[in-house]
Amino acid sequence: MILIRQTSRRIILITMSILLVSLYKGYGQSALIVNLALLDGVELRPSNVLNYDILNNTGKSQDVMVKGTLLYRHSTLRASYTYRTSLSPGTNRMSIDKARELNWVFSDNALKELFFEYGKLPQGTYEYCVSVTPVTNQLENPLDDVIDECIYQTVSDLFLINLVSPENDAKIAEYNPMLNWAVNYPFASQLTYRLRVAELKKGQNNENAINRNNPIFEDKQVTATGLIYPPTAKPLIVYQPYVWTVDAYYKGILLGGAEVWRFIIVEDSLLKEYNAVQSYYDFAGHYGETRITGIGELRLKYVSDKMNDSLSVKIMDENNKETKIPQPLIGMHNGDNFFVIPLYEKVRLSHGKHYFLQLANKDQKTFIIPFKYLNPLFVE
Amino acid sequence: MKAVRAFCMLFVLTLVSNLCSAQKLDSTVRFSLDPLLTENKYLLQPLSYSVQKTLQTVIRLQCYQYRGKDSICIYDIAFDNIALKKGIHRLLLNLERNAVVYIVDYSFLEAVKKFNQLPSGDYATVITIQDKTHLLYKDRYFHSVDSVLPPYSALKQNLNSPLTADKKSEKLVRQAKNISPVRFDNKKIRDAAGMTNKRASRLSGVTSSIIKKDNRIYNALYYQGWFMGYYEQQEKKLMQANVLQESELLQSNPASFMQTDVSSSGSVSSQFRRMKAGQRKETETEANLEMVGNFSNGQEPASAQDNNYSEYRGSINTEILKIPVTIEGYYTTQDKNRQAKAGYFRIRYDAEKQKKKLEQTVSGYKSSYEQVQSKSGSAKYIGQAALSKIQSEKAIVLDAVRRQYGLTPEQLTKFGKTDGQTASGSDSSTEALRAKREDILKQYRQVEELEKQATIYQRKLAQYNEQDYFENKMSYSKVSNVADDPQASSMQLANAARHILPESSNSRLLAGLTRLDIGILNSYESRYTMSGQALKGGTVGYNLGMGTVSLSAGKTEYISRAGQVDRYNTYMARVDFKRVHKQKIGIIYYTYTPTRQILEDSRFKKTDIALPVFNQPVHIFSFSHEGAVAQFLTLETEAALSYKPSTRKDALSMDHAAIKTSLRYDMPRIAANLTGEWEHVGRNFENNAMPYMRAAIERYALTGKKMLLKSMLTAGVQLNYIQQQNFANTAYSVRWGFDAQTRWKQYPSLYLSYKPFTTFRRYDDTLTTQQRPLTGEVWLARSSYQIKRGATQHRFMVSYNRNNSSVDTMQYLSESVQTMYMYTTLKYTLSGSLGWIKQPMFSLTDDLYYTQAYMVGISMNMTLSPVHTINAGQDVSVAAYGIQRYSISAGTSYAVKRISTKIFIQARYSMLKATEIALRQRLWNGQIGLNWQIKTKKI
Repeated sequence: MILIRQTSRRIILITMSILLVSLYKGYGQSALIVNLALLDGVELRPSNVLNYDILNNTGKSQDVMVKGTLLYRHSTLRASYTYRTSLSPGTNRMSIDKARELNWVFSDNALKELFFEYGKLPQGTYEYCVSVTPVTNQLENPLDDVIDECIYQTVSDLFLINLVSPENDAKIAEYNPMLNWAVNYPFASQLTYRLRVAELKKGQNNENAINRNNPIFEDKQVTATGLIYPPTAKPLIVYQPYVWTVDAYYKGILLGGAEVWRFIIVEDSLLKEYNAVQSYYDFAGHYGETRITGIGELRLKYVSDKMNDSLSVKIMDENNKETKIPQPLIGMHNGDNFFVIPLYEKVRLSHGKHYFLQLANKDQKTFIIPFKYLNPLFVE
Repeated sequence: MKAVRAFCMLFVLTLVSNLCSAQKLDSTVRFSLDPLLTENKYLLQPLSYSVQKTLQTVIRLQCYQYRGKDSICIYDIAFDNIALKKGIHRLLLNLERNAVVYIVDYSFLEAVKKFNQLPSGDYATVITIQDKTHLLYKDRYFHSVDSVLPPYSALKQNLNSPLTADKKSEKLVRQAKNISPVRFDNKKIRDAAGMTNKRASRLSGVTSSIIKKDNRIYNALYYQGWFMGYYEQQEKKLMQANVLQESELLQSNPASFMQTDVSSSGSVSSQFRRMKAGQRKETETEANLEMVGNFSNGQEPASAQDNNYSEYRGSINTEILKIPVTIEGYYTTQDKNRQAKAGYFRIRYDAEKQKKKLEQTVSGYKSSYEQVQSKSGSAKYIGQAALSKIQSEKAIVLDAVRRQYGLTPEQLTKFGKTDGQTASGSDSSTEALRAKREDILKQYRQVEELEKQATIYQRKLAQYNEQDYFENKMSYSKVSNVADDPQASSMQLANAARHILPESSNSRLLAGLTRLDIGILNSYESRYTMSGQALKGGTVGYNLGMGTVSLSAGKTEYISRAGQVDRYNTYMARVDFKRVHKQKIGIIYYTYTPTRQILEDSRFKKTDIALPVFNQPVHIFSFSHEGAVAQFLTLETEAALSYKPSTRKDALSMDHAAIKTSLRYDMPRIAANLTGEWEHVGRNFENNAMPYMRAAIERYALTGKKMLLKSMLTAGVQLNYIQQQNFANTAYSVRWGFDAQTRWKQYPSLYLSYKPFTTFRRYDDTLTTQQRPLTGEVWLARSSYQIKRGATQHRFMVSYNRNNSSVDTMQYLSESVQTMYMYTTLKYTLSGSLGWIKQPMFSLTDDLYYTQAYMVGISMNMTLSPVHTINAGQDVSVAAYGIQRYSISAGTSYAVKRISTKIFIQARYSMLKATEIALRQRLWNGQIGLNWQIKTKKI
């Protein structure tokens, strides 16, 4: 039942479209009608390119010239074919076998190879139009009787390249990194690649950065599956995140490419691995002999024996210079106090450097806690 | 007014004795009354209750303030038709929405309303609750308000305002530290008291007098004759520091201001709520603005950036209509010349900030309650001790009466009640009693007074217990459930904080809001629906308790690899169900329709009347799951299905589906983990708005990591297998990865990675399609070492990269060696680098050859002062044909702390010759930038 309903809906839609086409062209009672419904929503391949119907309402056999045109949006890529055939009265289902002397013309030889050898069209949106011209009398002007019909289709960008190295989100030490990828195309040897490296601006994700920022490096003629960032290119900057991707071209025709990966150059050649879960440090029992590590924050424990207690907080560098902190006073209650002093993006501290945290309670008893600050961005 | 007070006093004297014992006429009901609250300019009477069935009641409140041995009635108000719902609840009776007013001292209510505090003193509130037929409950509640002005008092805050205005906290703390605690300057304190006096006199109805008590100076503050409290005066600087400290403590540790004895001023939640209502409403705004100008006479080879361009970026975190929001924007002049713009502007609701505020409140209350609770034992003990003392005093008096006059307690009561008339006989003992009548009556009154006191203490202890019962049931149990749950949503936190936050500060409507983003958004919902494309539109999300519902609508911009922009109208509805038994399930419905813009090409003929399939919407349903399937075993899955209206439902198959699932197994005992992943994307799965399409793939991945030798060595292995069927035949790709890393303190750290990969086809495919398999490998070896000598550091790094790939007979080999040395002191950073690279190139005649380049560079960074740094560098790269790059750079940065601004300037001169045949390029690049950080607090 559902199937019948869908089929009837489809028929109605197709009929309406045909009527609209007819009205548009002024052929209220057109003798020949092209119906591309079978190809609508289907990607063209050499095997299905002629899968359409031509309706002959003349009541007699009709010789016609059929022309198919494939045109890519905002591109010079195009292909067309013509063939001559005889239409019987009623519906004529066309196929590759029925077409006599099918003459193809391609704007690009690569397009032709791609289409015929690999059965694939390039990425992008195309228009496919089929026009029919009656050939009844040699003296008649055939252009006056052209009946055509068009469909539109988008061929997806194909994911056919796998990036290999540097891994996504890699923290690297080399200023001239080696960028590598592997390819899935059957005709890998005939591909050239476009490698793009762009800056990742704050507030952007990988996809938007690569698509919307002008690349700082773009090489369209890469033949190998890897490239070392050349010394003559714009120098890469430490701690600036970059995104990179690779597009594949078959003899100049864009086919698709890889996803977008990110890397960042860091000063330290090897990032240290720290335990991200840090315990609370009870500093009162120490006298500054232990240097703790603060990955973006300091976790501290303080046992107070007062009702109204507070700790004033100061951070000094190794030269005893004070650094501004947003919350210089922390309230404490009687008993165990577990508290966190946020540092990342709150206090201006340098990654890997040593500092002193100075805490003073209400009785002006001072505690000094040496610590090493680690920026969470640069820690594995 | 005097008449009213006189009437009240009379009324009270008769009532107090009657009310000393509670009249709980229905044993199933429980009540607890807290002192008045001020919220949104209304006076609210909190009432906690527990009833077995829903009741329609009339409630009468009579409040008295004790003045010595007497008391005066402040208000006597009744409320009609108050519904008490079945169960345990809390009710806020709005005093201004009463039914009957018998007595009201408006100046008292005005004082409470105006200053968010009760005037200092002892209070008793009689509550009478009756339903249609009979009296349900009648009891008296005692509350005491300290004589020191509380920090949440609006009066105190008003008097403090000259001390806090335009002062930065950091400065105040510094000033406070400079003050010696032993210094005591009477004149300066008197000056401060005078200032407070002056400030108080400006407040309508407020009077102040300076008094000296225990060698301390106070301002005694009154409003319309009501004593509001004392405010201790100190030197101005010390007062400023104290004000700051009080304000900090009020936020971070409100328990320190709570009264915990049995005569307290209410339950923890009501005290906490009053403090929150009295906290200064601060709108904190943080802004970061950056402007960078780039100037150049050309660009390096292969760079597509404009020669001259500028960038502007800004972000503001603030509150709009009490909603925390983040406003972000970015613009670059490079956008003028391209179709896909990088600029964006968006406004986002900062749900995290909102949640954090609630978390802080909830944990603040929890810790306050726990602190008070820890002291409740001693508070009860003190109460009991006071009661025992009174009872023993009474026993002593009664014993003395018995011994001196031979009267039993009952006889004494009879004697006292009849004013000595019981001793009317003529025997000697009666005579003796008559002679000592006055003494006996005195003893009787003393006993009576002690009895009254004992009854009040008993009542206070009972009230304390009831208060604790409701506190636990209504607030603490709810709060403690969510306070320690990291998964708790804002909605759960807001519900838990219902009784501890003023209504105005706890908008549950806002707490339910999980997302509200408008502008150009980077929308990532899931891998197969909205997966990071720019959406010009909006997203809203709301927590409905059982889960979160989100809706998105707008135009999604797909940018092709050629840089063309295709716009789609997109809509998304998403439901994320609440995590149950560590399982989280989500459902997304996503649909998009191509806009007419996609067919904009003057050569296209029939875009208006094209067959409908192209314009049909694509619908995608996605199901996601994340959860633990066993101990240490977690599963993550997304399964999506796409179709168009014209797709026959019976034709839907795995070809229309996309599935990704991963299983991770952590093995803590052997310090290892293993992850397996499977992904299937059918060839008919359609989502043209996705940034890139993994169509027709079957992918398997396996990753393992193991720590060895007490974490000194980490070893990992990865396998990635992809099968893709985009073309007439199938492509296969296999990529392995092996890596090992060492970490020693004494020795250099090493990292080694080897990644071989290959692509191949099926044997039968090779017969039909022209193809050549590709094989390759990537090697990466890196070593680093650090030597520390006090404040100086020496760092070394060397790395080797190698990529070798072969297709058919063609072989490509790239290699590079890069070394770096860095010397760091507190003031300087000097670094030097050496490098060698080798990579393949094609000549104009398509012959493969290898280029090699040697690179050397030095750079220096010097900190001239904490606000001023300079840097300089030079590098040279030499190829076979000579110098391919020579570059010299210099820059400086300067921070103006006073206005939180940083200015930086960078300049570079380069001479470049990219290839042997390329022309020599001389480039000048300059960059000038300004970064400005603003932080303000608006009260």
